[in-house]
Amino acid sequence: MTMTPDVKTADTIDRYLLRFRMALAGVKDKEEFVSEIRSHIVERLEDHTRPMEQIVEETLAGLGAPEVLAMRYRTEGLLERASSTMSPVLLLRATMRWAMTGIRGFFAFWLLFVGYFTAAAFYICAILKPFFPDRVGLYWGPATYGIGVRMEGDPAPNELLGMWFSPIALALGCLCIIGTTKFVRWMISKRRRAGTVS
Amino acid sequence: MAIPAAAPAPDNWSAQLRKGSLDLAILASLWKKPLYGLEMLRSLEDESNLSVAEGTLYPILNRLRVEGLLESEWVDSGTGHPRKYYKLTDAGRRRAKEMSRAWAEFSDKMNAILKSIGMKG
Repeated sequence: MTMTPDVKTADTIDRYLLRFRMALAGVKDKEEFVSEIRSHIVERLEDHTRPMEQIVEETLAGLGAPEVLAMRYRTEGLLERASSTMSPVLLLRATMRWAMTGIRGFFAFWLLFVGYFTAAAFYICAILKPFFPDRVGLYWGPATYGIGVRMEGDPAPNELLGMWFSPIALALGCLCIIGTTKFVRWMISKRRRAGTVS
Repeated sequence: MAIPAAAPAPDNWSAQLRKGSLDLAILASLWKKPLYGLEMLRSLEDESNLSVAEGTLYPILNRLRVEGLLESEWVDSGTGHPRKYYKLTDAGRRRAKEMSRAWAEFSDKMNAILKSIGMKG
């Protein structure tokens, strides 16, 4: 039979669960998680060999700070959704949270950021090309090498793509987004298969 | 100038190893019968001396459930409060077997390597 905790111990448990519930705000199955953690704590109290206060203290320490515990649930939920999404916003949110837990997460976030930033640069160049045909393009020497907007100096005579630049830049932008998204999704799936939990 | 990569501290390496094997340990602990969270922790500790933090176990169980490897059910324990039992789904059993096979192969290869430094097993 489960022992009934004294007022002070019950208050400690309630305060922990309240903080946990608040930290889970907006998470699907929030009440389910709170119920399970409550059940776990109550189950621990069945150990009648030690003072109840000590058991609760050890149990809550084992569970960790409620905000950290909630973040683990949130991270797992976000990564689960992100592993099958094409939404850049969801992927950025998920990898940002993952980045807080380790170097691989940070790498995934950085890769996603660079990939999307590059795609955005291609799109902007593609849009600007019709308005500034002499200033935007793929340049190859003598003084300028590369792709992008050239604001200073004489218009470079050797822009290679002409009006083909816009469709090619748009295609490259799409490739950047699709490639980055698929690769980061693969990283997330791999991480989840490995069962990494921080 | 190239900066040599720092070798991971042994503690960190063991932690990574444990993290990577937790899913398999949890699936294996459920092979014979459904268990609830605390029972699983005790089973892992008693049978393998694998101590898992309480705050680590539950988010993993939830993830495995969402992945369809586990099913959960609240059962009245008869002690005044319900317990949430987890059991393997068919997909969970298949995954446990695959992981177990991969683990055994990897372990054999590592043991073969470790022979050379006299640390087999």
